[in-house]
Amino acid sequence: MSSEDPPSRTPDEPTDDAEVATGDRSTATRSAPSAGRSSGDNADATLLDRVETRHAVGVAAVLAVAAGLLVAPGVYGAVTGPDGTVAVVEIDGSIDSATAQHVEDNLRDARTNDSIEAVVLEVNSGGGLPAQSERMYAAVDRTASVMPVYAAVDTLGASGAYLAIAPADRIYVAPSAQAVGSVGVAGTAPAPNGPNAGTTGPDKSGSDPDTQRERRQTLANLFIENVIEQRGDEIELDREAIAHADAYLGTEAVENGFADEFGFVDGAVADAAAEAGIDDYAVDTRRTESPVPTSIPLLERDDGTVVVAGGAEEELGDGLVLAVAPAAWDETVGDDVVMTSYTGRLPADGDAADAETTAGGDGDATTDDAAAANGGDGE
Amino acid sequence: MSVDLRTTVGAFALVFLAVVGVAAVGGVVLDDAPPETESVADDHWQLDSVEPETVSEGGEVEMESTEPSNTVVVHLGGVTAGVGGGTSILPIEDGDAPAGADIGSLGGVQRGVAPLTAALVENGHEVRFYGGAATAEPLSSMLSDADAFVTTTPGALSATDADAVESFVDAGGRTLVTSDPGGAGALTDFGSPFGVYGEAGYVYDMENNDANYLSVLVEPTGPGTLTAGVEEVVLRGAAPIGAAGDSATLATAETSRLSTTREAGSYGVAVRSDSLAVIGDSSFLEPENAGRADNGVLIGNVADFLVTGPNPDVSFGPATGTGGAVPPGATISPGGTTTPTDPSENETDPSGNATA
Repeated sequence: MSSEDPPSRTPDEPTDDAEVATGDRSTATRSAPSAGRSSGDNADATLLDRVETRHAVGVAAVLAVAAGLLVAPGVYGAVTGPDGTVAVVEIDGSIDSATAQHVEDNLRDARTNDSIEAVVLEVNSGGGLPAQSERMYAAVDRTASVMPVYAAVDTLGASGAYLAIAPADRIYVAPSAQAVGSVGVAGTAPAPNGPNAGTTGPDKSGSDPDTQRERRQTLANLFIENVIEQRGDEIELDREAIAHADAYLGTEAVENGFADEFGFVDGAVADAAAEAGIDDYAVDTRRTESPVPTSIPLLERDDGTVVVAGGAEEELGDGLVLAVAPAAWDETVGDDVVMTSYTGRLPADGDAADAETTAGGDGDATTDDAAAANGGDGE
Repeated sequence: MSVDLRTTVGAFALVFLAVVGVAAVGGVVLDDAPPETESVADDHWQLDSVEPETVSEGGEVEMESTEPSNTVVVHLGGVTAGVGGGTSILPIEDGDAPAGADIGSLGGVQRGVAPLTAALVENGHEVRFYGGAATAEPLSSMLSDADAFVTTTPGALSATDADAVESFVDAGGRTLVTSDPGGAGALTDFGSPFGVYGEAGYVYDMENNDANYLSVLVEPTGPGTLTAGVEEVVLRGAAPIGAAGDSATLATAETSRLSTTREAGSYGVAVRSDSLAVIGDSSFLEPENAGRADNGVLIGNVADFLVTGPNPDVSFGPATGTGGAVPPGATISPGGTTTPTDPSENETDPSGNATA
């Protein structure tokens, strides 16, 4: 009986294997003692083989599940996630180097980052330094050549800020925006300089008035030409009207072509995404970093005068020509720096002139008062 | 069971290189570089495209008159109300530069009429500056000996002084009045006896200008002694001037606009009424502007106008003489001398009484 067992079992082995494959562990368990009974090492090797195979398959299955779970979220995400990102980049406050860096860095990132398909500029600025505005202008222009760049203006999108967004594909404005446009520059009136033994040349302490005047107009012309280059087809005003440098309400800006349509950031994001061909998009908002000052840093000197200062507390002087809308003048350079009229007179003189006009023959006293207020600077 | 180390390492290296190789080849094949951006158009940034047009420079002030010596009284008002049109009396970046004082300063209000006074003196005439009612010699006294009078700020004349000037003009004394924007009321007050008035606002021109919308170009409206040889004059800030019955001597281009109405058109900025000439800008007299366009020719013509003609026969009546001019706020003592009620007014009158 026992001698016949091995032959009789051998044909059965495939059956047992099949049973193992089907997971019939009771059969396998029963056959194991009989195999052990038959012979020593050979039987043990067969047992080991059987156990390893079953075990390995089990482990493989577990590992496969784990690996699947690891990969699945990615695959799920890839299937169901957004097709691309719309970056919202903020342009806020007075435009200086920090503003320009913020915008330039984020727009460069938008161009090099494959997932970003469109950009919306969230604008509330009345301008600032012309060159920094130009820097943003170039960054926006470059970015707009490879993806949709839309701008959305709420209260202020004027002067330097308007220059920065002029190359955008579309400009959205709030209907109650208060300053859109203001294409021009401003600064103190041209004035001659007296002799200064501390300088090595007559122009070191400032150009002559004619040159100052011409350079200011050159800066204004650069601004105007930039706007005409970017939006000449949209703006329905002629060059002279643009050069008047008026700042328009949002509802006026849409009418005269300084802006394209009414809208806000959300609408601009949706439209920019649609323009980029992404139905399902994520929004990545890039706010101005907190250390960025909200206005051009100012230094108050001992004598009470206020000057515009650079980041390194380096005085840039109050002779800078700024691309600032009237609405943003105070927050940009403060109340103490007054935009003088062409005569270079202080406001007290204007008051004096008014007083003279109304007081008629009482002019002398008024004039002398004004002279006292001025401290006789000219002498 | 023996492990073939060489085969194992070889297999590892083969598989590793295969994986890295596929990644490298795949990267090269599949990688799309950041999209090529278009460069920013910069043609319109070239100086040629944006440089403003300016007028010619280098004009000179020349007088043609050969009149014998005349005396011209020049009134510039106070410092703050001084010559406008860009003569800044503000210190420009020299507040903490005492070194500049070693060798001189920018100069006071008198520099604003230096080209005119230099031309007068060069041609043998006398220039006397009148520093206001608070100065020692009253205007009527100075005018009684003068042949011509110049004021850049008619609004700074006291009522008494204005009366004296009116009498002077009536007597044929040649008088030049320049009135900058903002002085319309004072000019009308002064000029109405002669049919001259000022209009509120200023004239600007966005197209034809000297690098700024305020620097309008004006042209003569017809032949005249003031405008002989003048084709184009630059005014840094022009006030519209009118006269009863008379047309303007100088007028702006048709492209100019009036600030108050924004209406485009040609605006008169200078009138001549017998011995009175009124120009709605004082900046053309300044040293920085005298050489622009034909400003120098106009200044030469003005100088000729001031010194050409019969001596005025002016009488200021009993008020003439010591204490004749009564500044506002002053009282007349029984002896007829003037006593300013506020001594500080004397001290704060920076122009002083200068005679040349």
